[in-house]
Amino acid sequence: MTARLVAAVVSFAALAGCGESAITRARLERALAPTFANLVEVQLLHMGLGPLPPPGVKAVASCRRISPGSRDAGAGEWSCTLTWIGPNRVTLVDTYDVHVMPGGCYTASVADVEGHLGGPMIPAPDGTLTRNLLYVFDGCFDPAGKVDAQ
Amino acid sequence: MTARGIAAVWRVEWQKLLGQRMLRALLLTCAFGPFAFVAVMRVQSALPEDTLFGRGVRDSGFATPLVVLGFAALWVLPVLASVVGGDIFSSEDRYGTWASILTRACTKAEVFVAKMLAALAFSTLAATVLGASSTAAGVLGVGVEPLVDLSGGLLESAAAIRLVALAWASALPVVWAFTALAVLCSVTTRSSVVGVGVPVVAALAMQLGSYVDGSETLRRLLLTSGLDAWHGLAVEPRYLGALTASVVVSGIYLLVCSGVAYGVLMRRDIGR
Amino acid sequence: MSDAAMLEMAGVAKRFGARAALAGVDLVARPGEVHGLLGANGAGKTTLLRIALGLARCDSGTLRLMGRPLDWPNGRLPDGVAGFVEAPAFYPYLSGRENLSLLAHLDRRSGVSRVTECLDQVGLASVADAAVSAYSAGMRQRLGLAAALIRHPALLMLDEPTSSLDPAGARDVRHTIAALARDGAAVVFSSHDMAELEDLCSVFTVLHHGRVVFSGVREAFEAHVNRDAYTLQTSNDQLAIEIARECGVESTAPETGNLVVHARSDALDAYVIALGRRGVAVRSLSRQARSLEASFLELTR
Repeated sequence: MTARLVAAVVSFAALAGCGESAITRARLERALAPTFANLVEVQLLHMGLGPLPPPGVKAVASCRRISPGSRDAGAGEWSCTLTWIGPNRVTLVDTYDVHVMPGGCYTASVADVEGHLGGPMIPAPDGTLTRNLLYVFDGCFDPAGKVDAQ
Repeated sequence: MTARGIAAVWRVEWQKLLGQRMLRALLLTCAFGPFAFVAVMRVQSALPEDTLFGRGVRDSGFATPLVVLGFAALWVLPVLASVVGGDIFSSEDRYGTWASILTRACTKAEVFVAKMLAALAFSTLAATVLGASSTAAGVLGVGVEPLVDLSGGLLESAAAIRLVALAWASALPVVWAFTALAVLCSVTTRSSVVGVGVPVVAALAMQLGSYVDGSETLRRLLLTSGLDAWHGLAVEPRYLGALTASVVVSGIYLLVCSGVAYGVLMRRDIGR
Repeated sequence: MSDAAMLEMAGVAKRFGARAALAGVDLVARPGEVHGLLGANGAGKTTLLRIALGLARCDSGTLRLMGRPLDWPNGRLPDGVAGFVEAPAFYPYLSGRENLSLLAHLDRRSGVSRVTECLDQVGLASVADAAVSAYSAGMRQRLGLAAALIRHPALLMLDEPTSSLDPAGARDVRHTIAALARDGAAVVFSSHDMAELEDLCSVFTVLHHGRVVFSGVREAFEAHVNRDAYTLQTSNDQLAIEIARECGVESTAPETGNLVVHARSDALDAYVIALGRRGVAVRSLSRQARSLEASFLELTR
């Protein structure tokens, strides 16, 4: 009885691997860009440099999957380029390595650690070091969410 | 079956539960464990970066209960859900006391319902204590700075508390479903080892299954997926599909497991 | 069946797989009666009591407790019906008093005094607050009786209630049972101790392989088995034994020196006449007082 119960659950769990992945390029880009933009605004507030006047920070993401297999869908490793307009109205481009889990949550890490986004810690207005929200950040999106046709 | 009969058995079951040292120790661990976690976070340099909100656990006290929830989803919540449900029926087999309690003024159905409710109530209590103490530990140990959510937005105290409360509340249907599974295992096998062990093993197997990249629909049929459904509340705009699926799936598990367990117990002759 | 009967079982049958544990058993217990339930191991006594207490389902037959049928599987044991089967079990991590309090709560009785009274009645007052894990088998059996007494039983069903007790403890339990019967309760209990049943019971039911081989009062029980034992002194025991074999009469020669023959009265007459014809003198002939045990063994041979 016990062995049958466990076998049933394990088989069921394995079945979850069947079917097409819900992690798509469109869903990831649609979630990553506004999250990054919001974090920029929060980071500027923490550094004493915000809030920005409207329309605030606008960002656009362009992602491609670098794990073996499909370039447009699947959990695993992605590379995403974020094009955004910075505080001085200059267009900036930053690349992130994004690890995406099957449930739709991801961790984005700055690909160029020497870039203008800074390191893991940055100075706050009072001189203390504060966590750089843009260095590594987590986010989630709905793997079953609708994405407008582009 | 009468409410009075169920209430009489319920009272006796709670007396027995609170008389068990192990369960009292478990509740105390739920109450004080999060404070120990916060104390450790304050002194060590490493952060729980594998868990959502772990990076921000020193920035805002409201991250602590969400980190604890993320960690508890792995095996702590299934254990809390099963420790009473997996034993409350089979303990009568272990002690041989079915005949003692069924030759009283209560029916088998009243005994089943009261024990089931007691198991669900304990699971709820344990999860609630863990959630409340995590929140208190975070607020007292770290502070009430605004929380950065999973879409980069800033949540002030009221909104952050609301998120924490809803996130923990969303775990309850899954906890109840695991309790019902534990009861089913306990009633059918008459073994507390199986009653407590199988749901925990099942939870681990489901967690492993959820790491496999496949159909979202199938993934949502795994009970443990419901323990992550609160992520949809921590982003803007919110998405509730996973939460809705979790409530439905948990409800089905709860009804089916309880129903089968009830049928097995009703049909059983009591004795060796 | 009488409306006054506290327990009425009619045509009760129960199978476990291919084995018939009970086949068409009738049992009636009336107020003021102590009804002995006899049978060898595996005869079906415990199964019958389990069915009577609502713990198991019978495959066919009827059961009425205090005039009302008991539903299966969700019947509620009527107030005043109590008992236990096999070794009564309790929660070992609780004391005797705590165990009885829990059971009293299940009966929706919360009186501390009733628990104390029952513990006194069975002689467990001094150990009431010790954990049941420290109790001997005899103490658990007494606690089981106390648990039954909490319900003020008008029908009490006990499965070998004195098997683990010392003679003094067993005597106390018998006194309690006798007192309950005097107060109008119906008591049914099974036992292997024939001497105990002999003193206490007015009515017997004997089970053999799941069937009733006798049910009735004691005198009828003894008369049911109409082969008596006789002690015989003769002038020539050797020849007497040979003649007994020829006449088809069972004889034994125990070490006491007298012959013992088992025969119905007509067969005995023929045997004595045969002895005389062959020149064997009968010096004395007396009937042995028949014990219950002998009657029981005879029935279940």
